Amino acid sequence: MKKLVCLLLVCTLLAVSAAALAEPVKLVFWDMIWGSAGVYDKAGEALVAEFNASQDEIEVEYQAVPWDNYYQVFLTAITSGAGPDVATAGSQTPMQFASMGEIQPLDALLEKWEAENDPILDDFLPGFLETNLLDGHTIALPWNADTRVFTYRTDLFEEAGITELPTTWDGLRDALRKLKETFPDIIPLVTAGDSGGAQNIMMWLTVSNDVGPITADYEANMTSPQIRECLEFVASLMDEGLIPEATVSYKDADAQRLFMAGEAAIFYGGPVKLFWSEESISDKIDVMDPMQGPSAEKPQTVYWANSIASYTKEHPQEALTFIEWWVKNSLTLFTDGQVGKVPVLASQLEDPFFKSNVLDRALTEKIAPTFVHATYPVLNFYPAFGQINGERYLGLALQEVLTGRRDFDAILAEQNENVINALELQQ
Amino acid sequence: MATQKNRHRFASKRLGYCMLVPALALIGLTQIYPFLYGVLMSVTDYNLLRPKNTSFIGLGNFVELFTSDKTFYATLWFTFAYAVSIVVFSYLVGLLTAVLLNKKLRGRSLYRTIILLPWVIAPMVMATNWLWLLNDQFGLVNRVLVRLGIVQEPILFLATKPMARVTVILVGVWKNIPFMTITLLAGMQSINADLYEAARIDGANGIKSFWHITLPLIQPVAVVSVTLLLIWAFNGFENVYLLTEGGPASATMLMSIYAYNTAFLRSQMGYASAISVTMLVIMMGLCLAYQRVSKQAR
Amino acid sequence: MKLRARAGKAASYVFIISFCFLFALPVLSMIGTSLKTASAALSDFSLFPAPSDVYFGNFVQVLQDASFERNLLNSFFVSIASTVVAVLAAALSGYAVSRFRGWAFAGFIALLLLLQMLPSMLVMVPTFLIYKSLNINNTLFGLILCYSTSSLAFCIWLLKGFFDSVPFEIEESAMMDGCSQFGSFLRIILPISTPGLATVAIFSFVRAWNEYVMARILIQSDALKTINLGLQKFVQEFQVDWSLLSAGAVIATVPTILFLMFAQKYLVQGLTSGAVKG
Repeated sequence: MKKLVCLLLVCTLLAVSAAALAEPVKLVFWDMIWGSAGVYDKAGEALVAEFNASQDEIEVEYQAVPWDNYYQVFLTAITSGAGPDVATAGSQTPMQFASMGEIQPLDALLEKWEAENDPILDDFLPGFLETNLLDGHTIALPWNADTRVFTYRTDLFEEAGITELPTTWDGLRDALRKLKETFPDIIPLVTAGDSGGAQNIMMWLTVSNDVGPITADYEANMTSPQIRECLEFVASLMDEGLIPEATVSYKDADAQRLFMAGEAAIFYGGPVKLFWSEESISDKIDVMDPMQGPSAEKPQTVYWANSIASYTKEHPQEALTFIEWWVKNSLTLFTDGQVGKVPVLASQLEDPFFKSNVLDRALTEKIAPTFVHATYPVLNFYPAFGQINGERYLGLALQEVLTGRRDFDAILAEQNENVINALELQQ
Repeated sequence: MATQKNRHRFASKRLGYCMLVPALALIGLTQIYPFLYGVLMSVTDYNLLRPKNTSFIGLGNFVELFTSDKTFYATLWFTFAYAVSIVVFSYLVGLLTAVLLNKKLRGRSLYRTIILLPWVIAPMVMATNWLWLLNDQFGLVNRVLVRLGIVQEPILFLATKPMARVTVILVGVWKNIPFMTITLLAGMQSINADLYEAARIDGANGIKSFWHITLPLIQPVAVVSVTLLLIWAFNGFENVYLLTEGGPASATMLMSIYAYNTAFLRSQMGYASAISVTMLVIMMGLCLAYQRVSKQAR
Repeated sequence: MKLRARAGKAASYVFIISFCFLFALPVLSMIGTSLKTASAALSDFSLFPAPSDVYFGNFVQVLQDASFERNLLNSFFVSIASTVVAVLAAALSGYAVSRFRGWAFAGFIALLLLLQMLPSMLVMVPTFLIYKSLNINNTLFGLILCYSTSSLAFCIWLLKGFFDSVPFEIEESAMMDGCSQFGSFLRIILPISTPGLATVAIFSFVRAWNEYVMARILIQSDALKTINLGLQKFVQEFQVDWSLLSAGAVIATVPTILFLMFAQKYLVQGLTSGAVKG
């Protein structure tokens, strides 16, 4: 009798699992809205629909996630088991969840690619695969890159007699001086200097000056003379009136407004698509060349690798299948979804789309070849990066300068201590 | 008579308990656990990135906060100044607007609605519009001030540390006046009009009857609004975060923003809870002090 | 004397109108932005666009979006429901703490205050855990519960103040006429406390309508999003569709203003002369 019951039990189990096999596995996919709402999320949803149609084992449910407060949304959901199975997220987010043990490494996918000699391994732009290594595991796969650029007014440059685009900081300062001389009422360079903005300025400056807040062996490096050069450079711009006195209070929108209204000659910040559709300036703007600081040997431009990662506990295999598909088929997100970012696969860069407009051509042809990762000189997102970047120690130092302090060494010593504490706390 | 009154009150005390049930159920279901959880976390070293290594550390967080945390005192000081100025100024202006709106003016309901506007519009939209109005290059406020010759150069509202502090407080006051106005107005509306009539017959002028009738009689409502606004302003996050994120260079850093950064950027949940519990204790002290003062004034 | 009164009145008008202007300044700026095109929202610095440039397309686009309508309805439902729950619960306990003495009632008030003092940001994770275990995360019911509870402290406390000012003798005479204490609460105390009830109703409604952080955490489904969540789709990573966002915010304000105008009528209908002999 007992045996019979056992047999029955096994049979039902088998039947249930067979039924489960026939039913597609459901994956919840959270995708950040990487472009405009209504454009990007449509393209993302279409891509997921295409994936669902391409096979019948997995069904992915698409959920577009707005940017505001997204870390808290991920955090509360994931720590209480209501999170996504797969998600795209900004720069260091996967690393943070990996430290919490909430991420499934993608090592199996990379091993598979290696075993199959998949051409995609050579297709990744150099450095990108390393950005999401943590203790030897690949915790996420990058599929797009963020950067910041200098957008400038070609007509004003021409009138001011600037015939060649600067490739060094000194060159940039000379150009700004010429602009100020020729157009006393126009702001030579406008940028956001609020806490996020100041951090972005410093990220660009430090990378371009071949230095970072920590060294490659995880020592705090804020007191480096190369970082001091960054502060001195901005201080000189401010003292000569080449950037607005109130820069420290500007958010992105304020800087964008001044540039769009024609009150500024150069805008530094994220690539803003709206500039290229504003009639009064759209045919008179372009992206400046990459530049290098006094201590660098070649021009370098900071980028942030954005990636897709697996958070599922139940369906790791299916998640890998979807992630592989997403990374390999993401081109439509750039072309139809108007992401305004740089793809990370060399083959995608070849697409005619990236030659079709000034902004994307500049990003892919001029800027991308000088890319250096935001964690520089470390190659990957390291655990303390979340705090060092999130609390914006570089930006805080710059804000002190922008509010009038000029005791650079003292400022940097203060922030160096913060970095030391962060390294101690998070490593 | 007196015994009967007491009996009535006493006999139906069970009714009183019953009437507390709905509110207690709501609170018990959703607020007690998070509150205890928050307080308990403050005596641990809970780190989001290493949840499994959490251990009980007693008052360790508090000792660190009071002895070696450099951010703490500066932040506490500004938070205190911020909360108190917001309460004082929004009370004074709120009282004035409430008095005006309590008069039989033409278009009264229109004014009342307009005065409530800062309260009802999405905070993010309001913060951005303030930033635009106050901008040094294109802001309407500066353009008008310069045009009228009141200032020579545009005011840098958020670009220097002292001005940024003043500006976030001003916007905070603007945001909280509606709350003060509406509660004080409700208090004034419940005052029996006969009292004013009697006072007028006795020859009291407007200011006198305001001082001797209005102020004392709105006191209970005023104490409630002031105490709660004090708590909310002390705990306040959104207003400053949307305007400056605590900048420039931490000049407008509030305790709540510091706790937020500690929790979500440093992942130190335990330490962040200790900051919050410290705020809670300070607030309790403030509230008790205020209640005592207002009782004495009465 | 008459002249002075008139001058006082004029001064009141001047004051109140200039106050109103100051209060409305950012609101005017928002309305102006909602009437500009996406690029004019950034490049045109004047408060309002020139009459020839007024652009209503933002409103058309926002209103055509089916999800916007649903967001509005969700917000309406959640705000009204949580206001009703909060006002009912607060009226009951407000009366209890006003009329009864004892450690339970004093403790209740202290608890209310205490719970206000821990920043909501910090209890976010445990709050979410509770909602998850009650299985009401990602439901409008969960939001209603959250909002009505969070406005309780103010509502109870304010109503207590109002009930305190009503002399006990009034109830007593009603009770001697055969009314129960609860009956006299319903029939006598509540009606003369309308300014208080209107105030707490306005308070809970506005608070629920504007709440964002908890909604952002608790609600994931598009079908359940409230208006403030819906507006977030205009906020991108590096740029914001200011004109659409402003148009959405303007539309979202209209119901609140209607509610305020409705509720305000009850602000003045409290103690009419002679209702209470105090």
